[in-house]
Amino acid sequence: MAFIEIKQLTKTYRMEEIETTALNEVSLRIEKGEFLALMGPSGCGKSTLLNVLGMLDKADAGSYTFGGEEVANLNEKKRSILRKNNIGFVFQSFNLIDELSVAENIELPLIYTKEPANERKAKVNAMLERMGLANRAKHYPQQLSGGQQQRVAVGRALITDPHIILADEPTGNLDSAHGDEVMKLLQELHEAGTTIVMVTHSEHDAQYASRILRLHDGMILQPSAAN
Amino acid sequence: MWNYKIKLALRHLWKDKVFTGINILGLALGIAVSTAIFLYANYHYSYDRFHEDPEEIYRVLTIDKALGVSSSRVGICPPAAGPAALNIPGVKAQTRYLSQGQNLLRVGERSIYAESFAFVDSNFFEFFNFPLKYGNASQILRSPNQAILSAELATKLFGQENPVGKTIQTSNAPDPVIVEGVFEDLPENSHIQFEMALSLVPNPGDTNTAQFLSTWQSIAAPTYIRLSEESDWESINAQLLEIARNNDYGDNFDLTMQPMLEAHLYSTELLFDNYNIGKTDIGQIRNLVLVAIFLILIAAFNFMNLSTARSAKRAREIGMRKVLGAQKEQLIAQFLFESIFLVFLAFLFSLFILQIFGNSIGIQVPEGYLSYFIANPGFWLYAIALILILGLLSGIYPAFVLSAYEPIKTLKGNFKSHGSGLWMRRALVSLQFAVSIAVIIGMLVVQAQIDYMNEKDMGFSKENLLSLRLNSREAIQNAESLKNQIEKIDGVLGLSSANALPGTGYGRNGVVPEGYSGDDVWIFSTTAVHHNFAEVMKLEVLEGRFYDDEHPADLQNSVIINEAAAEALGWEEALGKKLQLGPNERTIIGVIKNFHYVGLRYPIEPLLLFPQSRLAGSVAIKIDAQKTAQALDDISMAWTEVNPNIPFEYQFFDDQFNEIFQDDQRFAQVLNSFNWLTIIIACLGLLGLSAYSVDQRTRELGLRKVLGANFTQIFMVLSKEFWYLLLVSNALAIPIAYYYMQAWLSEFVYRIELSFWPFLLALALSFALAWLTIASQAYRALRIDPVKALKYE
Repeated sequence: MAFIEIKQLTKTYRMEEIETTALNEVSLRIEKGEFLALMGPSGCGKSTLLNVLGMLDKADAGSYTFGGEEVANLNEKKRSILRKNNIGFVFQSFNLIDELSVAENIELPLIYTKEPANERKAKVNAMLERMGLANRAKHYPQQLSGGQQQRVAVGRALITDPHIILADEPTGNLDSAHGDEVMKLLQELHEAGTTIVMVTHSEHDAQYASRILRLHDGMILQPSAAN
Repeated sequence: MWNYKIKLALRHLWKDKVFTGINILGLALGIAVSTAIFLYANYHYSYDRFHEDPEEIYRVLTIDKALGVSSSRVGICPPAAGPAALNIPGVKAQTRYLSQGQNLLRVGERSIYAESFAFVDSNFFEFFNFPLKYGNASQILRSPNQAILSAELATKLFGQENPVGKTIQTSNAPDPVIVEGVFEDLPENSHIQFEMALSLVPNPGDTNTAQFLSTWQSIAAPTYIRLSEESDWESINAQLLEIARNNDYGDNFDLTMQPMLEAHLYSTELLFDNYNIGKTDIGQIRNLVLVAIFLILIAAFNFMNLSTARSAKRAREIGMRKVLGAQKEQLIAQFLFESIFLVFLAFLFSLFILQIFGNSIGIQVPEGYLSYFIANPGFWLYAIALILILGLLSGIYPAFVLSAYEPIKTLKGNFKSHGSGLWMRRALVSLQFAVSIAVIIGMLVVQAQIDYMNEKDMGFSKENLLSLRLNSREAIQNAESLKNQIEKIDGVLGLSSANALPGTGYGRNGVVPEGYSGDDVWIFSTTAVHHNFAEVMKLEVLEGRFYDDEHPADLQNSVIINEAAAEALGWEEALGKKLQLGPNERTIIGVIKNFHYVGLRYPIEPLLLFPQSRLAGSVAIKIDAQKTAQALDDISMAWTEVNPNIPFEYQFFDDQFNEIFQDDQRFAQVLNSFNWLTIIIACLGLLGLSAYSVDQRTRELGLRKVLGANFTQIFMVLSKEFWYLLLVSNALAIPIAYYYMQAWLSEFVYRIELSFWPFLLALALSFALAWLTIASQAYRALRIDPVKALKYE
């Protein structure tokens, strides 16, 4: 059984008079340990797909099984519990909380999973070490470079040991040197066994993935392309 | 977790310093004034509650059914009523208290005034819980000429030593009194106040006093009775009235009872209630509490407003938290915590404000009351309740709006919070401005009425008048020589006296006018005046003449009435008519023009002026305004020469008279400070809203600037939406203010007419303030760097 399986997933947006089909009966399987890149032009539905995978958004029709459980019709509360225990997010614009220090940003998900304080501390320290941010623990996001900020965001995504990382254009706001730094990090995670789904515009970044899916007008264009 | 919440709350507050400052300042100001008002209200509510089982104590009052009376309840009853009540089952005890005003005390060579003294029944200190420092409450004041002093007076007279057994010469009686005990100074929140109590036991052979104490024919004694817990006051009242009737108590009078706990706040219209010290009107307290609640509400509106307006800035953070697994409830909890925390900070700040500016808001809470209050568990209950309620009230709306954001919409960057929140905020700002406008109108109207009262022709002159009181036997005996001395002083234009000067409370007498039957007793206010009183006070004689020294027979058989008396009796020609007063008959020799002897809230009632045979009571001295200082020195010297043992004390009569407006003046002052506060808070609200508008429209405004917009054009763009709000505010405020001020004015018999000026002025002021506030933001918008603005997301 696949780790993630979606079948016939459809999502439309209505704005005034115009109806946009963001996802048009998309079906897809993702195996454990895969590194999948989603590509396509703006408005092709790749972000919508990622949001549905991350249970931030609901599809209008179709099924979605996550780790064998049907999640398409769960309520917000149940989805949020599944989300915080299984999924880590990395965004193009980092979305760090400015009022929290590096260590506190990384710690935040553990507060929502109600981890005891001493364990939180140990995990955060280990993560800072792993991300090469140990000497930045007390800094605030504004005091870091873009690459460092994105590493904090990755650290935050990983802190709960999620089964899958969803990354939405993780290098979109970074120059190429810092972008590569982040991609290498994702590659290492992939090699260590983490499942990753990444949305990207960059062919260069897509090459790090084990499989590339291209979307157009809400449909998957080619089933797969091995790296 | 708490640690985390506090830390996060602090960082958020610190990050948005302007927002936090506006919020805390607005809230703290609101809370400070409101707390002052609540302290004040609580203080007045606390009156007389320190006694044991205070709800068992009642005052016996008289109901006066006579003709010519505007208010029927009288604060005193016949001296016999109290002892008689003891025969009724259910009455546990009674005590009487005859308040007497100043008394000049002499111990050896020292003379000191007791500002007030009273004769009290021997059980007085057992009946009430006024603890004794020296002496035994059950053994004192049982014989004539015994005294008990307040701790403060005892220290003034005898220093720190125990004065029990010492003697004092008083100014009201020839025999010295013996000190039997010392009582702790009476609490300020007691309606009974005196510095010295003397035994209400007549000397052997003093049949007058003995008779007085057992009479049903005179209404003279403040009387208190204590009922047993289960007894019903109405039935006791009926039985007491029956006893009174059996003792030939006049048909014009009834007896009633008032719970002592109502004496302080519910006795406004009572007559002969002068010894009910510090009496305050419940209506005034209610007005102030209403003001306090309003103030807190608009400060809370401000908070809701600014928090919601600021929400867009936090949208991304909220989205991210949701992505990371925060439940809606957790976010609501965090926001509510932040708002409660902010209110907590504002509360601390407000205590600080109260401590420093407390006295300038116009509400005088007795000194030390704040610290007393803070030491009181009730205060902490108030503080906790206030912080929680205000925090929840002002946090709940932003909390729900913010926590309802959908994460994916907020994480992309250029999120804008449209829709519901905006209307809510506009409504709140309109409401705030409506309150401000209404208060501005109120303040202008109250001020105009007070100016009117200060400037109104009272029917007598109160300027450049000095008043001295002759309140010891010695001073009265020396009055003639004092008069001769003072009249010689350069700068003294005239001198006279009256038992009571206008504004200080006149007596009342029953009279049977000519042409009416003996059953028709009329009750008229009375005082006695010296013969040139009309000249000194500039009273106008309409018909006949005033008293003068050429008609010594006046003393026995003449009386002067005011216009109101003639009118009440339906006499077109009053001169020569006769009035029967007890056994005496007097002929009317003059009618004077009405003058206001009791404030402007009340109509001018019929008044009788009797002649004084010699200077007595209060002496009024007319002084040449140019020579006041010198004349004052000379008068002081003359006094000391004539009365070497009596300290010289004087008042300017206009100050004394204006005390009758004190409550109204206090209301005006509170309204005034409240006014500035609401204006500040409303402007802060508008500032927040327009600042938010600038933030939201940075890109648009930047673009307009690139395209060449100047200050006026930017201002117009920014202000457009606010003018409508302001019109709505005015439309709301004006009718409410009109209605309320009309009601307030109607409490005054003599009042101004409501004109359109206060309304127009408030309208103009509200627009001017809004203009300034928005202009400051337009100016800020004009300084936006267009390059940054266009990149801004």
